[in-house]
Amino acid sequence: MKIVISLLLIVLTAVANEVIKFGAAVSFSGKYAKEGELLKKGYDLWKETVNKQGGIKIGSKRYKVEIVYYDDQSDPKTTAKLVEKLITEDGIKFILGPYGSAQVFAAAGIVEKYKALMVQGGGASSRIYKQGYKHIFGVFNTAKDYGKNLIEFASLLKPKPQTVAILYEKDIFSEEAAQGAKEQAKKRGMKVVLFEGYPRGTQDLSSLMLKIRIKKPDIVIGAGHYRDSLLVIKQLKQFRINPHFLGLTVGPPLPDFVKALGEDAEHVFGVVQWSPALRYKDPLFGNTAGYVRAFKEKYGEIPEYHSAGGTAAALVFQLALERAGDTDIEKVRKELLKMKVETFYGIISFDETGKVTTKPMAVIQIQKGKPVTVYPVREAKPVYPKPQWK
Amino acid sequence: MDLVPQLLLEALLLGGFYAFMAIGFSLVWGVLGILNLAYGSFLIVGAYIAYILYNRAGVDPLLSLPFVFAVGFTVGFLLQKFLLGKLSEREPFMILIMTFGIDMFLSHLVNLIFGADIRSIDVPYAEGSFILGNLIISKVKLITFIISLFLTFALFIFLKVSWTGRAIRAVALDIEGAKLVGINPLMIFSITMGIGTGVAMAAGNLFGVLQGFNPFEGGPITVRAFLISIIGGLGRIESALVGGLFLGVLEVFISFNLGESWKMFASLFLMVVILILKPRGLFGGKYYG
Repeated sequence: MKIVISLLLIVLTAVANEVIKFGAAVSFSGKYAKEGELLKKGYDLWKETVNKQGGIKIGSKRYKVEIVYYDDQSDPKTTAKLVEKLITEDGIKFILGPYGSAQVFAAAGIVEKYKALMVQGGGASSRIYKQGYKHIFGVFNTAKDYGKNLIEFASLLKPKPQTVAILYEKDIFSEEAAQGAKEQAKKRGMKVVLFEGYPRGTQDLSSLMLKIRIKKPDIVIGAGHYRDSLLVIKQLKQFRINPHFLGLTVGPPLPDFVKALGEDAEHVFGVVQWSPALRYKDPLFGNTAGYVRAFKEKYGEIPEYHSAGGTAAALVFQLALERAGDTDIEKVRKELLKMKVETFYGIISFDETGKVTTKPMAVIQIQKGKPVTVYPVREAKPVYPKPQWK
Repeated sequence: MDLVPQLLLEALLLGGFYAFMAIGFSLVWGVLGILNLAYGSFLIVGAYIAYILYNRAGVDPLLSLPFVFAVGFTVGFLLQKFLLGKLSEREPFMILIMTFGIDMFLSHLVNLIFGADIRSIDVPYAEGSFILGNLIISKVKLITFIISLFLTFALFIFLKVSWTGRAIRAVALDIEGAKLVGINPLMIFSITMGIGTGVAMAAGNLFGVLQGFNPFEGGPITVRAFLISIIGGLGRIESALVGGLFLGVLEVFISFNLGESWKMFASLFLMVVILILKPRGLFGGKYYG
């Protein structure tokens, strides 16, 4: 018996030395460096957990996971170049998505061209799914849901807000998020008093602020990324604009948001793809709480949705590979399309365009320096109307 | 609530900074005949120096101004003496290409060291605003405006009164005449380039306090400096003030009425129109006389 076991072990370790490579071009510098780093944390936690359990079991073999990273410098053109390098030079067929809609969009074109396969948890623009691509899957709700959820939640508050000002960065994600907010506001009988975009990279929004200042809206929605959110808050405060409800699409759930803004971050609403407060079962981590524990153990902090999106994308990839029992792209792709699975991240299944269809979003608010979930699960009572800037 | 006074105030505050920011560019252009395409990148380098000084050594960005200016002066002086000056002996057009090269070199060097992240110098006392009747005045804009005006005035006095300043104007007006009275034009060229680059970096120091920046912000700044020099003409320091205010008003009103996205378009359109109709600038002549 002992001999059999040791033989088995030898065989297992020998087999487990086989390696399956994933590739990712993620932003480690530039505008999306923060989000990119979080995404990488999610990927790395998945890799470590899977490898600890012996690797991915494909057919009869076990494969250790390796991830090859490149820094796309937050530039979509660079993303495309690097993904091409991953596929053609490094010979990697399985691509983990970059961060940012524009980056994912750029990567998607390349992945499709070479018939590789990408699962991504970093791009939320619906445009990604409108190209007829067959090899791109995403675990993020699309951008419109960001704006939609914020307004939907705001409309349930008492006294009900009546007027909305929406400002957005002109990129594909933020424009859609703003559009989603606008549509929802109209549907809920609110008046959109301002709807205006500004070019990417703008660092001064003074004239927009002046416009908001005379309109005195109940709700201000800022659709942009992390840097935009900091800018919007700084300038709202500078111009002494005090909306009852301030919602930002990206930023509030990030730990650095509170670090950078301190007191000013207080009571800002944000929307998240995922919240640690959710309760789901999971094949790799046990359940959502198990994922949170594993993350905390490795990084010493509570995961937020950018990291979770990365882990979820990689996990889904793993499940599809295991179910296919083969590394053939076509077989794995078919498994992804068929899949309906409960993970720590929510229930995941894809429509024929590769977009996740069964996952909800959550609204959070910064309270005492921490993001707490206020909708649809209620960890704490939302503070509304928002107190004035100090 | 009538917003025109508020917009004019914003334009004034912005224009004051623009005027100072563009002086280095127009001075070098007027005296040396060099279109310094690296100007914006030098400005950004100044912003990063102030950023390091503030974040690593805790030096207040307003106190680091003289230091940043001195660094800029040294760099500009040496650049002219050992590189651009040598080039101009052979093929003046090459200088333009060279400044373009320096621009790329600087922006990529900064990117290499700091990455492409947007940085900002956040001094606590510059946050917030004053209320004056119906007007709201941002502290940071007011501070940079006052400093810009002060430095502009200081440069004005320097050019009018000091021997070197007068020598600079003499060289700009008539280089042969300047030689006859014992001025060494090569030395004056180096000094002027030094002052120009010093102003660029000092303006960068202020720019960093005023708003966020990244390594590749230099391009649009060079365009603005060019625009201000064109609008005001290369005549005098007063011309830069006129040009700066003009651009300030234009940017603020365009961005308020048509949207932020139209700002650069409108500015560049105006530049083309002015170049066609009044190539020597709307106000003022050609030289620092």
